[in-house]
Amino acid sequence: MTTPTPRKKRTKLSDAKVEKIGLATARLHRILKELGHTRHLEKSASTMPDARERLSFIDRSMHEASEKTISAVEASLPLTSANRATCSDLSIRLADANFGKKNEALVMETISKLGEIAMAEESVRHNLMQIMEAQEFRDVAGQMVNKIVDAAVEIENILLDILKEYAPDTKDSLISKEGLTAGPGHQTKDSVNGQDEVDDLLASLGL
Amino acid sequence: MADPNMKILVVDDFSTMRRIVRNLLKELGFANVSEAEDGVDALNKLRSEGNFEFVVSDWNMPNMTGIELLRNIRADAALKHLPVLMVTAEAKRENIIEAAQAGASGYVVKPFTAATLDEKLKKVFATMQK
Repeated sequence: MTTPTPRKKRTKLSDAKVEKIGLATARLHRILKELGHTRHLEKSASTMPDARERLSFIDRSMHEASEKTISAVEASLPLTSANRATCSDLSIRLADANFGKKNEALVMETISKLGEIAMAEESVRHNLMQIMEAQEFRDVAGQMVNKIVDAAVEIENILLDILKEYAPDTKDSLISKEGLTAGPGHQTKDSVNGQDEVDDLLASLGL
Repeated sequence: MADPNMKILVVDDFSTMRRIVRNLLKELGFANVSEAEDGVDALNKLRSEGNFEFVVSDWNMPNMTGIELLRNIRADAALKHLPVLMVTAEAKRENIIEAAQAGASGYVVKPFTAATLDEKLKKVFATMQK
């Protein structure tokens, strides 16, 4: 009768494997140094803060542009309302006034033109609202930019980890991470397409 | 038709978004609008001022998210009746289901238009009157 040999744990690496990994690591270390790859890695890592700065610039520019646009729209909306009110008021008063037979055609033409101006002002108001709505891009695009900044920070951290491992004399950290919000990200398979699908889903939930 | 003087709280961490929603609400005839920059700020305002009648909230915000705000509102005896419209870029089904289950009155995905907002508000008001 033979005593059963204890089963080897599958996760445990054999000494040979450990030795192999050790050799490979040492080789990678040597190659990185010999070929100056640590410098490449360092360079790659150091481009990340630059990328982050550029993305922050984009975000800041978008913010400033949106704010300026909305301010201009806010300042313009009351003007169009006032112009429409003025057109309407003048038309009514002109129609009631008595300028005599000689001026009748001119008065009629003026009333008609005032109507056209009021209609144009209505179009301008509609367009201003569309410009306002379009500024929404700032929100979603801003969150997307933040996501990319997050990814850049992560890549940099990985590169820095590798550098620390193989070139310990490298600077500890080239950047500091800012508090960044998570974003909506790209559409996943589980995402809905537009408000209609949201409504369908809500309806199915009894809302 | 809803009261045009109805006091509305707009909650979003992006100041631009708050301005847009405020302007769209104004366009729809609601000029009595206050703003909060996250769920914590919103909850403070709702509790201290006490006379809000409608909440329009973003989802993704620091400190307290929109869904947490919604749950806090529904768990507060003084606030739980408040209609809460979620206006958010979160378009995942699980988000919408989560919001509905937490007691959201409506859900609008960004980007949206004044027309969409109008439609959703009317729907919420109609439900409230039932």
